[in-house]
Amino acid sequence: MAASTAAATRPLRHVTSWVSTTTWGTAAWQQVLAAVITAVLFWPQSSVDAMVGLDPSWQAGLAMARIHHLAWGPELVSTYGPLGFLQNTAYYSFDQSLLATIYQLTVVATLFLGIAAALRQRHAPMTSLIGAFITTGVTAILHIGHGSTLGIMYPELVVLAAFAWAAVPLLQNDPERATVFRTCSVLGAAAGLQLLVKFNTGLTILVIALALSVLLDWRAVGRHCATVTAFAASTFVCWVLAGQGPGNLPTWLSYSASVVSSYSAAMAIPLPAVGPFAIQTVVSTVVWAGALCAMFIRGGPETPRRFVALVGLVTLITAKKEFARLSLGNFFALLAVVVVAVAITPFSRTRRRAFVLVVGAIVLFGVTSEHTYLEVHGGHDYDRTVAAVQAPGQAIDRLVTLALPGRVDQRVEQAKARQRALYAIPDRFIKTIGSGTVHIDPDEISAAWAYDLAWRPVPVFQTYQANSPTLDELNGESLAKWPQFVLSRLSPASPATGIDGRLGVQESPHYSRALLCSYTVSGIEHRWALFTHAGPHCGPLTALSQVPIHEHDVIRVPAPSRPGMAVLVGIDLQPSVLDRLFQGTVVPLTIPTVVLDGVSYRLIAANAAEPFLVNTGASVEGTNLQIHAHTIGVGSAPSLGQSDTGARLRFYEMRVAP
Amino acid sequence: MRRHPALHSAGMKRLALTAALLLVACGGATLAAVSTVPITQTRAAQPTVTQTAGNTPPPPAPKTVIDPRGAAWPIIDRDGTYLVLADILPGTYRNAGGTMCYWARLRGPDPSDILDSKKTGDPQVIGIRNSDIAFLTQNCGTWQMTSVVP
Repeated sequence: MAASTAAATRPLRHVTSWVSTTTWGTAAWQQVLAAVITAVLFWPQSSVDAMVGLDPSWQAGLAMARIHHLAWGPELVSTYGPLGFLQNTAYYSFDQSLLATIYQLTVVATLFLGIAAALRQRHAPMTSLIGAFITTGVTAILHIGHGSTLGIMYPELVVLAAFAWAAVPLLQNDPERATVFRTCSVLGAAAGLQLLVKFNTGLTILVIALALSVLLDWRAVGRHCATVTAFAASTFVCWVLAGQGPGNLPTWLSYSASVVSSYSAAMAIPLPAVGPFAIQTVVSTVVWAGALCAMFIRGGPETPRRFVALVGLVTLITAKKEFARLSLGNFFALLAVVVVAVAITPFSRTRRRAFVLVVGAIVLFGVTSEHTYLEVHGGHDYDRTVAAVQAPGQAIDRLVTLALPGRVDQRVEQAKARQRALYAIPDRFIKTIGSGTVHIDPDEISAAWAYDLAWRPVPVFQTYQANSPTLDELNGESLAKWPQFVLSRLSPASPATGIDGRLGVQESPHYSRALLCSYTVSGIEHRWALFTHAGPHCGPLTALSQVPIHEHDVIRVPAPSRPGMAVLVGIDLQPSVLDRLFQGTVVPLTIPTVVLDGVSYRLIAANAAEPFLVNTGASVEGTNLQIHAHTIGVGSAPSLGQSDTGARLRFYEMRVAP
Repeated sequence: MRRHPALHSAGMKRLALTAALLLVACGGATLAAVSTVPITQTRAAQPTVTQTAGNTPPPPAPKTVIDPRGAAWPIIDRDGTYLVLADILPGTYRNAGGTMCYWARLRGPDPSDILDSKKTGDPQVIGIRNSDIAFLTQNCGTWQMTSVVP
């Protein structure tokens, strides 16, 4: 029996022995070859056609920004930048698909090489490559965008790659100064490129680069400066290479910072609304944080504290994003950090066993949370495992599609035809628009792509991202000037609602007023309304009255004094300490609400002071601007006992000429 | 007995700097905002606004957009054909009935490409699935999502 067992395990021992002794994997070309193979194998959802919907539409927006040569900054603002199209998985045009393919393969390959380099500090070359292969695969699968055809979240994968590369010198006992300088500078440059792909990931990579420099020697000011200089230079060069005017860069940086800084408060999902999934994520995150603290306190030459500090930093940034808007995708991004950190952390055999057990439990716990999440939030019939299995086939399909002349164009035309059949925009609207410029309201941007319209959007082209007065005003002022037409996809609800139960007219008050006051309705058909630019036709705002209000109060909205008058209200919130702490800024436990005729809507607190429409005239009946509220109140959901929370309502009236 | 090594001051400085960098990356948001509306004309306050009650609960709501936990629930209360995953989300919806209410789950944009349909005046509970392409409703009043699972 023992002899047969020994015979059976002999080949395994041979393999183990070969893996630990072979020199294959030391040469650069061997590592690059392994990286390319890994990238192709773990490239799920790489060959898909453009779809309709909110998420595919911002991808369409990123693609069309390049097609229509729009100027980022004055003409376009988003959480993404002029290179955002690089993370698009769907085909929008040949050159973009080609560049995106190169970017996406490079991202996965760079992650693989970073993990392999970190593992190489303690393991044999072949062991490192195998470890990197498995870790990259798990990480890529965890980063598949949940529930849609968005493919992998590549910008977040770049953050992980930067983390792995930054870990390499931190794991060395005495890293060469030149190597550290080079690593920091390259990471700084990568941060600059990434800033133009997705703004917040660029900042995160810059923080990782600076943290590496500081953790190795905080007095190395020259290196810190070089890192920042590489970041700034790379940002500028990539900006110019992306075809953007140098003068627009400061504008874009300023507006993008506004988009990012207003994101948490406006997009946070209160944890009680997420149900058991929130408990799972909180427990997983706390256990992981506890494990990191234990590792930091123990310290020692084997697991340097400076490395643990970097892991903690990346964990904190990822966890903040996770809890800013708790979703499966954001939670899995944190799990991916855990996976990579555990893979590259050097342990003694006994400690590794205990640690891997803890982390294995976290990952298992996390993966099972997908079921809990889908029960509460729903989702698509989408299987991560199936996507992983299909990945190699899709990769080959994408490469073949790019290699065969005309194949990309063919798929683009097929996708456009499919989208036109779904959108079914009336022919007369399309004829009326002709070659005129058009903005798509509020977020089905794909329609402009499908119908080859001259897309001229407001700068924050999907209005749900205009979550600050600055951005809303930017949109409002732009809309008052251009384009010639606004094609509006009608909401299924009346009054119109936006994402997360927002009230359409309150989400972007300035923008909504501009649409009401600078455009007239040319037609409503097939769930579309066509607005035509008509110049300003509203009177000034006339202040009516001011009313103090507390939670649960019901205030009657003043009736218009005569036909053709619109009524608006501005809400001066007086947030309590609880509100400031728990409305998305620190821990999202509650959201502010506005209650119209007994129905609660999510209130975008930052835009609340700007008067929004609560009663519109007949000129916009049937459109997303239509609203006839009789009573109004403010509140929070869930209520944390902020009954003393007050606010002040300011009512206005405005003449609207037909 | 193993002693925990004390943190060196240099290490503390590194950590402090790292924490500062983190704050820069995370950014922040303010809750209160100042109105930017230009008031070009002011009229004396009119007694048209009355505080009807100090703590009177609102009248029963026929629909829920945000529930007491803060969760958002989609509603459909306009007639039309809606694209699943673009206009509406899959899930279970109910309505209170309506004279000659007609609804149809569609497998394509054509209203005759029907998966399931009904014409009735009774209250309805329907499941709109991920695989449905569109949903058509006529004279059905408000459809309220009650579960994300169809």
